[in-house]
Amino acid sequence: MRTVRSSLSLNLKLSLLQAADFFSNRQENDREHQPMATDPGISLKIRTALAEYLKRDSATILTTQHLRDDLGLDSMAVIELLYRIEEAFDLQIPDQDLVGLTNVGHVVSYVEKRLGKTASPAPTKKPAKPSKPKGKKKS
Amino acid sequence: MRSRVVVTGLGIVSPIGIGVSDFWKAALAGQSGISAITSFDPFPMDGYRSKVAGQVRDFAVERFVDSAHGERVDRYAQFALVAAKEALADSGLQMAKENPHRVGVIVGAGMGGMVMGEREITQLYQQQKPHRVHPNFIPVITLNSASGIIAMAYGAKGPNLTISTACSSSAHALGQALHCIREGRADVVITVGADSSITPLVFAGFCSLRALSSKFNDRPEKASRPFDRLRDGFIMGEGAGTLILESAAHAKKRKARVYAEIAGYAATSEAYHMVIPREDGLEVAHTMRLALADAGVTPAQVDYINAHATSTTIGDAVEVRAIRRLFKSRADKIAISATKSLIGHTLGAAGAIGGIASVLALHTGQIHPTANYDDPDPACALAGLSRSAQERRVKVVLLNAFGFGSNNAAVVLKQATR
Repeated sequence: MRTVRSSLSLNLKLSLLQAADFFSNRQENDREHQPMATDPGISLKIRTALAEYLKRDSATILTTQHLRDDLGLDSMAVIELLYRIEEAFDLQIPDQDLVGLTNVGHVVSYVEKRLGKTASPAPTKKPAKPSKPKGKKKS
Repeated sequence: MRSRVVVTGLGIVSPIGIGVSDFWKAALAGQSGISAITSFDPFPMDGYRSKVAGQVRDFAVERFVDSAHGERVDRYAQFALVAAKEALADSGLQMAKENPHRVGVIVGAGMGGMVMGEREITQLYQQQKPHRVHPNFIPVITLNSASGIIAMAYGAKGPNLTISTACSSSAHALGQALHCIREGRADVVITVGADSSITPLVFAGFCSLRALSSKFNDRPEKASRPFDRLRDGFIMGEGAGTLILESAAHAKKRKARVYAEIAGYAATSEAYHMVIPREDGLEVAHTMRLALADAGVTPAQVDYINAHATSTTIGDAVEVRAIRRLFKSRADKIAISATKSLIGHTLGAAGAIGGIASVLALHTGQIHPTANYDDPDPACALAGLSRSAQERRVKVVLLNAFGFGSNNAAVVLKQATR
């Protein structure tokens, strides 16, 4: 686990920058704020979960859509949706992380960050489980 | 002509004291009854987002009541029995001198017998031995076990009801007892609120609703902080409160000490959402207005509100919005306190325990503090809130209780006329 975490430090910094966006004033303009390139598998799974919950076609669920204002989810519905997502991705979302999850893209980015799969602007994609370094004790 | 209804006895089991004297002393000192849940044996607390609750410590029912009754019921009903015993003794009512058909019991309970309930359910599903389900499971889990056992303990044969409307249950118990006596169907009603469901499944359920505080697990006494900027959810509590409601004429005839009068009541639904209140506070304002009208008083006459105030981000703000809407410029002149800041949210017991705090305010001229009101949230600051006890001669008190299921209750209490 420690090996995975240390290899993700660059991705984590980028994710923190993204997270800062979530909690900043730019939340008010989150329709304009496009999340960075996402893992298509995760994005599809989340949009499918939303589509099932809302009983509509997943093609109509867009990452720019605001959960409350566009998709009509009240706070209880958001909690139920996130419960399904926790189950789908085997995650636990702490209470304090709920605040930033206001549009579909935020949810996708959050799950990716948690799974260590955020796409970064650097050309090299970090492997999920890098090999152990030789001869050095991990701090 | 409807009878006036007064309160002649009080009894309580709470996270800050068993017995009214201990409870009130602790309440005036702003003592917190919130503590860490050590374990839900066999579940470790790791898997729970919230890890604190308002727990009643060192409770053994056999220390207080006859085992013939105490052993037959689950923890919440044991609390109810103990609180009822204290209240009846406090009232001086002697059942042997009463017509038993004129003494009723009305209990408000939200969750009921969940301690034994969860145990039996778990055992059945794990062991798959239906014949090993305890024969007393059904009587224990049935939601009227408390009202039943109290009637049996005291021979009270009058109207016997259990009201279950979640967090407003025992506010409605007070209101229905008021109606019962007003309409002449009983002289006395042993009015109770009780709940004890800090259990693995129920607690997990509230955690999953994201309704509970999770930021103060390391400082439990700071967790319940209604109206404060840092509030992040309610804290589960357990307990029971009993008020002996009686017709004024009946109380006068037996020269009973009268604490206060129950003067008005309103029961409404927002018809809005199972767990989310209407953010504009319109319906809550309406409920309070109705209760005041039923009591024959105007908003201008209210001088203390025992608020519902659960310490949730939305709920507290809605209640203040409603108070400002109804009371307008007077809103900041009314004393306010949040009993849940001390003991957590006792669910079905909340209305009765808030009622006891209201009665004691009328009787003693003291209003208990609102704990942890350190940094008022501007969205719900009211000048009448205080971290310290307030001394104030109050004559008209409004008690609020709002339940899941879009359910609202308000009760109006007045100073007893001499």
